[in-house]
Formats: sequence, structure tokens, C-alpha cells
Amino acid sequence: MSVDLIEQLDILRRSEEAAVTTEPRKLWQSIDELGADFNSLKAVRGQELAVQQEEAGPTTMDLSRRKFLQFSAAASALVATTACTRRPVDHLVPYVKKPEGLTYGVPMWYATTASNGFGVLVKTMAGKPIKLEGNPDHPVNQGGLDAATQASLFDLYNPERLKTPIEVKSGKSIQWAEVDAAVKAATSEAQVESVRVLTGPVVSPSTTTSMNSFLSSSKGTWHKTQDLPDDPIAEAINLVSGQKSIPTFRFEKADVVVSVDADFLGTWIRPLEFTKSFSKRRKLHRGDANVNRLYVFESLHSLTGIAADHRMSIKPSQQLGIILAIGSEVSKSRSADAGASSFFTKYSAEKLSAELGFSLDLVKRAAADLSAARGKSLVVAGGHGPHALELQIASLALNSILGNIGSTLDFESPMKTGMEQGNDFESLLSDMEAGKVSVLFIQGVNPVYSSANTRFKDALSKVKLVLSLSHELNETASLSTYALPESHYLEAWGDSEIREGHVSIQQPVIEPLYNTRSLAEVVEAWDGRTGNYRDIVSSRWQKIYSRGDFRSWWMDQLKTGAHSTGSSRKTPAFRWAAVTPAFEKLNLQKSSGLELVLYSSVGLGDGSRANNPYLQELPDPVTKVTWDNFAGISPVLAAKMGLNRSHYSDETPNILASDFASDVVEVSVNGKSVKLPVFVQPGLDENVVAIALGYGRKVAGSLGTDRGQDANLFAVRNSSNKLQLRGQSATIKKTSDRYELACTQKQFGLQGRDSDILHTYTLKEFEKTQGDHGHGKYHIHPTFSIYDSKEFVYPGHKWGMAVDLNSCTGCNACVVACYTENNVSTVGPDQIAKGRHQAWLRLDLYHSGDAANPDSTFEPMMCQHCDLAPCETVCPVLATVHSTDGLNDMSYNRCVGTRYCANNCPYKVRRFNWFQYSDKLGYQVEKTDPLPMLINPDVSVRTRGVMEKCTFCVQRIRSETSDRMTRVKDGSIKTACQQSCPADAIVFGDLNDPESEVSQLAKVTTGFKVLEILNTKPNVTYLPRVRNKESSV
Amino acid sequence: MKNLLYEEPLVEGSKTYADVNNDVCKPLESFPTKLWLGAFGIANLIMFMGFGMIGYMIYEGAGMSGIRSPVGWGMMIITFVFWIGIGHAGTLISAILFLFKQKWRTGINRSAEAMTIFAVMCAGIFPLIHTGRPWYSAYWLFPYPNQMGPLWVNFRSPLLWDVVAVSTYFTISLVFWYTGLVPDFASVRDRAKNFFRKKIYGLLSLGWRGSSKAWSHYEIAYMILAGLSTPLVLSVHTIVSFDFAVSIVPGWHTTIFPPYFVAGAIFSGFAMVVTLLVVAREVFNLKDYITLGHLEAMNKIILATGMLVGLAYATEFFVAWYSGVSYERFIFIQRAMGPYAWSYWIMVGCNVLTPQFFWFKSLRRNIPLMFVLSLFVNVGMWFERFVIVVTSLATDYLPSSWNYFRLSWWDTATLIGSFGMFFSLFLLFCRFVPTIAMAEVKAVIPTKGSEHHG
Repeated sequence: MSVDLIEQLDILRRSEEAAVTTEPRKLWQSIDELGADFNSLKAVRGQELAVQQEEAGPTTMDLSRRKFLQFSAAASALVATTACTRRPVDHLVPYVKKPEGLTYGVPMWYATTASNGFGVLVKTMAGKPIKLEGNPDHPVNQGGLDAATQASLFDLYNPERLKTPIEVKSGKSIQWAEVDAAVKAATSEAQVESVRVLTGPVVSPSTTTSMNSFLSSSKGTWHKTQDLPDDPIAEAINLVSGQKSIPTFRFEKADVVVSVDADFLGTWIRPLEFTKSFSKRRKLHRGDANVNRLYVFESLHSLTGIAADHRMSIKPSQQLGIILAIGSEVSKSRSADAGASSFFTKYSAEKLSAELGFSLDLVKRAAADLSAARGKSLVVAGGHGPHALELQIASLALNSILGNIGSTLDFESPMKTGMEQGNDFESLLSDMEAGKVSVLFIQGVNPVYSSANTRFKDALSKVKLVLSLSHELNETASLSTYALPESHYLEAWGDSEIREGHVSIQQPVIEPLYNTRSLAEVVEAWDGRTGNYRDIVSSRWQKIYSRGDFRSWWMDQLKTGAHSTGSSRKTPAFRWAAVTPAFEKLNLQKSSGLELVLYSSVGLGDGSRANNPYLQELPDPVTKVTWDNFAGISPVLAAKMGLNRSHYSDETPNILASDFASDVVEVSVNGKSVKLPVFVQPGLDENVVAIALGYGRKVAGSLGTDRGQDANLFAVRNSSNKLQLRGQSATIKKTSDRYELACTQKQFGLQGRDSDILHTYTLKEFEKTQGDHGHGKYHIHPTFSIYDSKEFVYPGHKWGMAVDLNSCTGCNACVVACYTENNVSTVGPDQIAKGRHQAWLRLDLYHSGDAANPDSTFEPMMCQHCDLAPCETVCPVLATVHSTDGLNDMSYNRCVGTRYCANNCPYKVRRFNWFQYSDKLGYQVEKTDPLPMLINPDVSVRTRGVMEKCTFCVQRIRSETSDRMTRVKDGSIKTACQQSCPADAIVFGDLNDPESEVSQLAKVTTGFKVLEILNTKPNVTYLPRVRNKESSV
Repeated sequence: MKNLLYEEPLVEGSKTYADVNNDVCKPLESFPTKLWLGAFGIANLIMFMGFGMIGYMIYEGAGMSGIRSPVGWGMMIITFVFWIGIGHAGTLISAILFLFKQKWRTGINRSAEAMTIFAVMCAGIFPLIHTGRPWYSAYWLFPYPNQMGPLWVNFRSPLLWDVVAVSTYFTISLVFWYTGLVPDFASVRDRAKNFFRKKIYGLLSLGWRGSSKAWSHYEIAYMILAGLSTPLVLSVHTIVSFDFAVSIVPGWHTTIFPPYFVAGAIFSGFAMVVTLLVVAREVFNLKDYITLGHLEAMNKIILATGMLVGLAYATEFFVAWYSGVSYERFIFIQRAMGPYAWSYWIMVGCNVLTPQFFWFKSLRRNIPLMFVLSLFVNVGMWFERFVIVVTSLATDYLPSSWNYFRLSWWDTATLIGSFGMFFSLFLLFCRFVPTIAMAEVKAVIPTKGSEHHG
């Protein structure tokens, strides 16, 4: 057939079809078409002769014999190939008998007590504790919980825990029975006083009873020490009153607080308790106009210094001088206690300031404010300086003059630190050296690490049987005869009393994971008693409660976790004459040259928590350094010595260094030296070099060993034989080494962006602004949108947050709460140094003003859940979208990781999983069993390559709003950060509920949104920091 | 007196049609020289090193790169924009110059187009591997029907526009290039003595016979494709610039980006063409086809676009000041004086100062000089993207998050690897594809009397 013919035929056919279309004439091509409807006809045209298929039903397949064989071949090939890998055997073990009241996926909460005595609520999922929160019913912490206690949950699941008793020399695992037999043999042949027990503070009355019983039967002695001792407050009080107790500091009652080197919001005695009570007087934005005023004189830049309204950097040698100068000024005007004021009358502030070289301005202002607030002020001092004991006596005297005894210093329900009883460490040491000790049982302390010298280590070899009870192998345990595994406080029965008259129960929430015993169980066993320790605890509590049905009362106690019995203590009388001679001998001299400041860090404390990745990774609140300690020096000293000053930059144009490696210096004290990288930080006196303790552990598991340098060797004894950590004369020498510290914030200056980022006021400015409806110090540029603002309304809830910067102390509790609640990974120092930390919530810190005494302010920064979120529009795969209740949601399984959202987020709160961080601790140590039990099953564990960020704890919101029928009651949903905050600085709730606290706070005229100018419409309102600066003189 | 009407011949050496075929097909029909083998070996080695790096990263994680918070984009996006920019000269030469009937394009369009395609291939790798999970982004970024809802892509995201723009650009460029190649493949086929060669090129030439009807269809198709590609020259880099301009990052959020990026792209593309052709005409002895006149014309374009880019730099500064936005001002001051000032001044030195030499005719026709200057321009344009991507992100709104970005060793190795891939492909092209559009060149061979034609 020629081409032309085909074409002609085609034309013919088309014209025919056209004719049919325009004019449905009765043309028919086959007999079937005759009389048929045209449209149905068109569908079958051309297929008239085809074999008609059966109409395919929805479930039948169009399958020929060939196709079937092809499919079966492919399927068998697939089966054969996939069957090549053997899947690991895994067992799902259901409850054979399900515990009553337990529903899968619904957490159970228990009230118990942490080893430090604070009340905690434990969230358990399927019987596994996964989160610790503060117990609101506990009288001391009242709901907040500090970073370290929250992180202690990790210790329960730490794979490096001691799992059975170990004979250290052979490294052999043994049974408890062998240990018990060895102890029995040794104690029975031991002479009187040759059995010794060395523990840390013991706050448990039951344990104390058990221990005393063991010691009386074994004719032993109990010694107590602390790796990082508290200041000698108890001794000072003992000297003047004969009563060895530390009063409860009632910060909530104090209008004026003066602190001399006592970092009571960070590390001093019990910061959680003090933060709670102190912050009650910082609720300016919540209707409480009666805010307190805090003066801080400190040798370290601490959290307390940052919270201060007036702050002065001092040298440790000036501590006592400051207190005496304030005292002499105060005693000029009035005195409630003539005996105490006799201390100060012989001093003159002018003379002291000239002799010791401190400026008088702030001293006089503090003195004036204190005098004006008699009975409503509080003076605290600490810092282990050269005159630690005298400092405590003087500050007690000052409080006495001010009439604070009995009001802000509460002796009627004093603190119980667990150090009240017991002999001291020195006597044990000399007895050991003299060979008088045959059995030594150590728990809770690690003197081999924390001693400044090797005396204890050497003396250990003279003891026949050394037993060490600890969670992990540490320096002391590794030199013992037997290293015994200690139960976690969540595995054991006990109780505690950290304020006299307030007892709380420690109930286990999980069976011991390993063959472990608590301290009480150990001594009970050695005393010949076996059985459940619960009975011992409850029998002791039965004595407290003698009315009616004990059992139902006891169950109630287990629910609330705490009970107040009341205290019969009386405020003691002070005999100042007893200590006056000591002051006469006092020789206060101006020191020249550098002075050392040793301090405990907020994260690691005394070093016992060194193997905890949450705490290693927790940025030091003031310097933001993680995983290491360093020699902190002032910018002035750094410039003088030509040391790298990259970490501190003020408002100068040199905004950001390109090199973050620090110079390494050799710090020498008394002929001993340590090499440390420098960190240049504002807020230090020019002549101070500050080093954190708790680092440089030698036996502390895979994360804690050899991190940083051990500075314990610099500790000395001062003239009154008290431990001195500050004020030693030091020298530093630059070396040619460089070291990069892993720092989560590298720029601490606001670059003049205050209006947009962070509002701070003095009280006077603030009151003026308030009166002026928010117009005052800061000018916010009005923003508008070209789109209809009613584009989307939130019909139900609309979640929002308010952060009270005036309450926030920067204690880091929220950061750890967020890590544990949301399964945030720790990434280790190398990744942090690169800028890859994963914290969903971070505490930005900005300094302004004078480098020696900066005004520093914390600004917690988390996802702002913007209404017009810039991250949402740029994600190409819709992995981050807005929810109908105003949340910026993140779907991890959709995220491909373009990081565009992070680039476009002005708040830089989005965190990317650069590697498979969730598999490892600190991206160093593979997570092994039982660590997966720590994971919160309500929150996805993120895989590498996806973005993550704060979700406003969406899992908590969803579990409360699951029925979607009723409006959630304000306060019933608390985000993890909010729950843990001891200062109650974070408020979360429904912005659509006009009655909710957060919607009230969002309307505060002085509140601000960060970077409001960008029109992102954030849902987090910040309430400004207000410094109560004007002196009331 | 100088003849003002004199037009430089587009092909020198009084070539006949047969000469053209012989000269251009020579590298295809002879055994590869040692020089080619050596160069190809090295380029291949570098390419596979680059692939190894990519594989290593996909195994280990995106953290191999130096990117870090807050600098979420680093070497990979910089290099992506760099290669896309390089690709622009090809389309410009093949499409726009074609439509404007610039006959001098014939000597260089083939290799320029090849370069475009290879550059876009190199570019295409980077956005894919820069994602955290390339195994998903490889297809989740496309709007395909699916059972997840269906779950669509976010049509508001510039990254999605990017995917569309770049894949369109690649497709059109490839089709355009191939269309131009069909007659030349047929010539190679017709000359082939080897059976396989005949079959392969026969297949590639799609049965081209050279009938006048075929030529007429061919020319219409070529014209249409040129028309289709022309807007792409402007659109692709405009859309790439939207990746930045649509965001709210200071230093990115500017309206000048589309023209600025297009000018920069053409600038860098021409520089790369000069770099390649200076070498290729030497190695494959094509000096008569790629004449100094061609090179000079390209240098003029480099000069013009270099000035445009310089103007854009100045305008950015002016607007940053004029806008009154403190963040914007801050970023620009940081660029010139901050921690990344070194990269800024490399950029300005290479992109603004270097082309100034081309004001002089003798320098425009100086082979060694133009080679060196073209390299400078390439370096400068890479740094331009570095400055844009990195400096803005490193010091944006909240000072607490500021950080300094550094390339990791992985970044450097992968960047080098992409050059290995580019040169490997280009060397293969030189061996297996006629590097000069023979059919087109034949049309512009000077014939007797044509000197006075113009």
C-alpha cells in the first residue's frame, strides 16, 4: 500500500467520524452497532472483533499463565535473596500478670527522694523510670529540680555501673556472701576503734540509725567528709552558740541580700532550695512590685553575680575585708546586738578599703540598704577563702546586728546537711597512718581523687580490709580490697531529712538492675540483719506517726513523698566574746599578684558526676564551655599577658574571631603546676585566675576519665586549719600550646541589638516605661503584613510561652530537663567545638558594660513557634508545618535534611543530626544495654540527617488534649523546662484562653518578642530583666 | 589606511570543507595521544576520589563537611551555584548568540554547550548530597503521586523551584546540544571505516541523510530550541538566586540577586570557556577554527559582565546602607572588614580588578594572559558564592549563635573531585564527539569574495 493511499483512507475515515460527531446519523459498521447509543458505540469501535474479557472485579487480577509464572519466579527470587540475612533473635515478653492500673503507653508517676534529699517525681513507662521531675509537695524544692539531680537518672542505666562485688586485686566478680563473710571475720577480730566508716553526708535518718547500730556492734567509728566541703558555717555557729547547725536561709523574706563569694544560686550549699526561695522575690512582672535587691561581691563570675542588681569583682583576699567594712558601716547607725557590733566598731571601712584595695562605693550602698532593711535582709558569705571561718563568724555577726537571726536566718527549722554527726577526715587519716585502722568502709566520697596530696592514698595500704561502696569504679574503689556495687536511689528504700522537721520517703521505683545494695542494706547485712529495708524505714516512720491507722497514712506518705513533723529547735543564744580573740589576731593584708579561685562547676560539682554525659555536655552557665575546665582570666590580664582573647568580645567591631583555640598556660601554686587552656571572661578581677574542680578524674569511666585537669592539688589548709580553695598566690606562664575549648556560645555582646533581642531595665526606667504603656527605653519598629492578618485563626488552643528573664537565674535545670524529656543526644567535645551541639533549649548569655563588672543577662532560647514561621515556607518537602493549635511541628520521617529551615530561622534553634548521634554517648561511646531504657518512648529518636528542635513538648500537649472535647485547664500541661525550673521563670499555656497565666503575661506592656521586627510573630513572650539598681538611701 | 570594513575571518587557514572534516574528526579517528591518556587518567583518579568522598559521607553523615550551626550551607551549595554559573556560557552562546545571528559562535558553541552539560551534571550532584538523607531527597523533592496522603512537595520552597529549574535546564541543554550534533555524527559515520564505529555513530546520528528537507526541519527545530533555551539563560540563575533572596537572612534577602547572579554566571561561564578552549585549541590543533578573534570576543563579554558584577557589589553596599536595616549594614561591613574579609577581597580582586586588563586589545589577544586571568575569574566566582553563602549565615541575627565556618578536608577533596568529574567528561567529549560544529563552520568558511561581503 502506498503512502498516498493510507493518507487518503485516513482522510476518509476522519471525515466520516466528523460527520458522526456533528450529525449522529444512523450509520452502522457492524451488526452490533445497529440501534446502539452513539457514545457507548465509540468506546468499542475498533475492538469489535477482540475477544471479550470478563469484566474484571476489584479483586481479580488480569493474570495470564505466563504472567503468573513470571510473578512466581520473581517472588521466589525475592524470597531467596531476602532470606539470606538472619534477623537477630529478639524476644517480646508480655506481662503474664499485668500490674494493676498499668496501661501500656500511659506513664505512672511515683514520688520519691533523690540521694541529695530533694523530692522527685519519677515518671515510669512500663516499669522503667524515664524522667525525674521536682516534687511540688516537697517542702524544700517545691517542684523545681536542678540539673545534676535530673541527670542522675542516667546513673541508673549507666552501662559502666558496678554490677556485682569485685575483688579488686584479681578483678574477679564475687558474691555478697563472700564480702559479708570477710567483713564478719575482720570485724570480729578487730580491736576497738579499728573499724572505720568514711562516708559523705548522710541525710537519711534510717540509714544513720542502721549505721550507728552496725558501728556499736563492731565497735567502730563513723567519719564523714565531702569531696568538696561546704563552707564552715556550722563550725562558726558552733563556736558562738555551741550548737552545730546551719539555719535555713529565708531568701524569700529578705528585701536586701548581700553575698560575699557565696554562689547561692549556683553551687553554694543547696542552690536549688535557694533559687526557689530567692526567685519568689523576683516576680515583678506578675504583680509583685516588692522585688528584692541583691548585692554580690565575688571573686568568680557566678550565677549569683549575674542575678545581682549590683555586683563587684573582688579578690579572695578581700572577702573578709568587705564583710567587716559593711559591718562597720552598718554598726555606725544602729545595732540589735551590741556584742556582735563590737566586732565591727574597731574597723573602719575607709581604712579597710585602703589596706585591701577595694572600692568603697558599693560597700557603702550595700551597708545603707542593709541598715534600712533591718530584719528583712540577709548576708551570706562563702568561697573557702583564706579566712573562711572568720568570714562566717563575721557574716553571722552582721546578720545578728541587722536583726536577721530568727527572721531570714531560720534556726528553728534548720538545714540538715547530713554532716551533723561524725568524726572528721583528718583524725581518720592520722589513725590510718598510725596503723590503727584495720577495716575501712568508704561510701559516697572519693578521697583518693579529691585530696590535695597522696596521704590518703598511701595510708590506704596500711589498712587490712578496705571496702568501697560506689556506683562506678572510681579512684578510691580501684585501690580498695573490695569494690562494692551501690544501688541507685531509685532502686532502694530509704528516707531523708534535709530540713529539720521535714522528712521524705525514698521508695524504689524499679527492682535493682544488678546485684547491688544501698548503704543501709550493706550495714544492715553486716550487722546480721537481712530482710526488706522497707520494713526498717516504715517502722521508723511508725514512730513519727502514732495516731490511728498507720498503714493508710503510710500509703498517703508514699503518694506525696514528704511529711512535715515540725521541729522543736530554738534559736540559740550567741556568745560573741568566745570568738573575739580570734579576730584580734587577724592580720588582713593586701595581697599582690595573682590569686587562685577554685570553684565547683554547676555541672560536675565535686567530680563524682564526671561520667555523666548530660552534665559533661551541660555548658558552664557563665562561660558556655563544655567537657573541660580551663583557667578563667579577665580580659585585662589577657591583654597584659598577650593571651588569646577570642572568647570574649565586647561591643568592638572585632565581632568574631576566626580561631577559637586558646593559649595554654601553666598555672603554678605552691610549686605545683597544672597546664590549662585560658578562657577570657568578663566579671573577674584582674588579679584572679579561676579553675573549676571536678575535672581530671583518673578512674571515671569512658566519658569522665581524663577530661580536663585536676585542680584539687592546689587546695591548702588556711590559718584556722580550714580547707582553702581561694586566695592562694598563683602565677601563670604562657606556653606555646593551643587548645580548643568546646564552647556553645562564642559571642557574648549584643552588638547594639538590644531593642530587637533583649530588653533590660533598671527599676526606675522600668516603672517609667510601665507608666508610659511600654513606650520608653526601647523602640520597636511597627511591622505590618500585606496579607490579611485574619488569614488563619486558631479555633481551639493556641499554645504559647512566657519567659520571665527577671526570675531566670541561668541554673541550667531546664536544659537537662529538655535533654532527658526529648531524647536529645549528647555529641561530645569535638562536635561542640564545631558548633554542633543539639540542645533544643539553650541559655543565651549577653554581657554589657564594664568588663570587670558587666551587666549580664540570660535569655533562654527555644523554638519560638512563630505564627509566620520562616522555616516552614522554605522546606521543600513539607517536613515542618504549622499545626492548628499554633505549634511549629517537625516530622522527622519526612525531613530530608536540606537545612534550609535552620538557615532561615532567625533564632537559630534548629539542630541538625550531622551524624548518628543517638547511637552514642557524647558521640564517643556506643550506647549499650540498659541505656535504651532511658529513652522516652513518647518522643522519636532522631536518625542522622534530620533536623530537630523544640516542640513545646508536643507529646505532653497531645496526651492532655487527646479527647479534643474540652478546653485544657490552665497549668495542666507543663513543658519539661517549665516543670523543672526552680525559679518558675517559664510559663506555658493556651494563648486563646484569656484567663490563662501565659495569655495574661503575653499582654504585659513591657514584654517583648525576640526579633519582632522580622514579623515572624513568635509565640514566646519575654519579660524583661529589671535591675533594682537605685539605692534607697 | 586601515580598512574599517575589514572583518576578521571566522576560520583561518583557507580551509576547504574537506579540511574541516579532517581537522575536526582527527582526534576521534586516531589513537589517543599520551597527553590525552595522562590527562584523562589524572582527571579520572580525581573524579573517583570525589565519588569515594561522597560515598564516605553518605555512609558516615553530613557532618563530614565543615558545615555547622549556624552555617547550614557550605561548600556543597557554594559549589553547586558555582557549577550552575559555569553552565551559563554554553546556553548563552548556543541560544542567544544564535538568535542574534552572531556567526562567531560557530567555532565555540559545541564545546561551550558540552561544558554547560558537564557543569550542570557536576552541579546537580551537590544539592543532592548536601541533604542529610540523600537516599530520600533523590526522589522526595519531586512532586510524584504517592500513597502518603498523597503528600506533595512544598511549592512555596525555592529549593523546589530549583529542582525544576535545574532539571529543565539540563534537559533543554542536552536536547539542544544533541540536535546540533546529529549532522556532525552523520559526518563521522560517513567517514568511518571501522564496523563498530559506523554502527555507533550511525545510531547516534538518528539516520541523518542530509536531505534538504531534513536540513530545513533541522534548522526550524534548532531555532525553536534556541528560542526555548533563551529564557532559561535568565531563569535558571534567577531561580538559584531565589534560594537566597527569598529567605530572611541578612545579606541574602535582596532584590538585586537575580540580575546579579545571571551576570555573574555568564561571567564565570565565559571564563571557563576561555580556560578550556585555550587548552583545547592547542592540544587538538584547532587554532584555525577557534581563532584569536573568538577568544577576543569572549574576553569582551568577560569584561562587560565583570563590570556588571562589580556594579552589583557596589549596589549591594549602597542598598545595605540606604535600606537603614542595621542587620543588613552589619553583614556588609563584616564582609569587607570582618573575619571573612580575606574571602571578600579575593572575590573583588578576581572579579572586578582582573577583567580590567581586557580594556586593551593586545591583552585581549594575549593567550597566556587570558588563560591566567580566566583562572582568576573562576576562583573569584567560587569565592563570590562563598561570601554570599557563608558570611550571611555566620553572623546573622542573634550574636549568641555566631560561629566561624571552615571547610573540612572532606569539603576540599570533594570540591576537587567535582573538577575531576568535569574534566573527565570534557576529555571524553574531546575524544568521541566533534568538538567543532562542522556543519555550522562550513557555513562561515570564508569563500572567495566574501571578504567584501560585510
